[in-house]
Amino acid sequence: MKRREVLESIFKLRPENSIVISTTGLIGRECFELVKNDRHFYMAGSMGLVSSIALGIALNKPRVIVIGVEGDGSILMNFGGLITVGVWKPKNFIHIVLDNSSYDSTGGMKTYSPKVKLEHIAKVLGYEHTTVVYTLSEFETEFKKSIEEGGPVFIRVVIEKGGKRNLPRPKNLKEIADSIRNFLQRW
Amino acid sequence: MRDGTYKPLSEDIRKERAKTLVNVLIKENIDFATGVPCAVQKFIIGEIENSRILHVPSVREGEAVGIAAGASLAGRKVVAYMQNSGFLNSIHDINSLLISYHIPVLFLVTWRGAPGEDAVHHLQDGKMFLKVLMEMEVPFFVLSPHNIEKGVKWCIRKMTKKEIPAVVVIKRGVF
Repeated sequence: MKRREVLESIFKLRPENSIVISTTGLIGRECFELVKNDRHFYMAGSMGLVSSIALGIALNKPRVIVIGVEGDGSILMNFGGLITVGVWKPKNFIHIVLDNSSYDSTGGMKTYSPKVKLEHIAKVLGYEHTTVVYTLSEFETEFKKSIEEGGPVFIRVVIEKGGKRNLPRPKNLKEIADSIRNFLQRW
Repeated sequence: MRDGTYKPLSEDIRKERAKTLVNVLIKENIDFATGVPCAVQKFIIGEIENSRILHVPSVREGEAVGIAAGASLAGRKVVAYMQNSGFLNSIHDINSLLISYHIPVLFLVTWRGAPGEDAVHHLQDGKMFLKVLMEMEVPFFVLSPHNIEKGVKWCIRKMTKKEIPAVVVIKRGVF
């Protein structure tokens, strides 16, 4: 599975009442290329904070489905944040980890992810449903199920290393925040 | 204090001042709190916990910055409490997320390592803390016993107007 296929699938299948928070680096930049600011918060910088931003939104906007998308390197950087998610258990949070066992944005250095069963730990910490998927159709089945059944859900998606690198970067970050704020105001 | 010690405050005074501070937060419509505990802010955090402010404690200050950002984007008026040790630890998150995206959050930050500090591991943090705030160009106000209400209100006004974080500086011996 390629990173881009999963991201395209997320944006294709997500419901109207959802937003995507994407991590800094290639994942966020690829999301930004796909949808710009359309219900998408591209978190440039503050690596690791996707799940925490998602938690802050999810607890305050229970009718909005918050989809957090990050890599294995990113989740390992703020692993403690999963504890707070597991304690507060927001039903409207879908946490997707694209796992290529590497820091691909910075040149493909290995992460510790192959040694850590991320979805098992998420389960222990209190996520309602946790799983790992290896194919796009498995991912789509799990993602649709998460939208219907609620969570918090944790989906580890095993992807290949590599992918497009020539990707855009946003220049106006305030615009991104304003756009999400405006969307959330309506819910 | 010049002689290197703090005048010990009675619990009653600490509680009264904490109550004054949290009452201002409530009057100013702060309705969400997150953060990491600090002994100096013990009674402030207690007052927050017993108020109608939704309180989601975090396990680390950087995480608190993320939770605060999310809550603020969702339309809440947010306070984040912590020690300067944790604030300094989270500078990149504050810079890249709150300042760059213009997300307002009110910080209550204890200034450990201020003149008179007896815990030497705080001294380096304390020496640079206000200078760092100046370099970050965030509004900040060092509270004294007589200007608690004024200082907190000023920070909230600045944070709302500029859509950036503002820092209420809490000193040992005042709270």
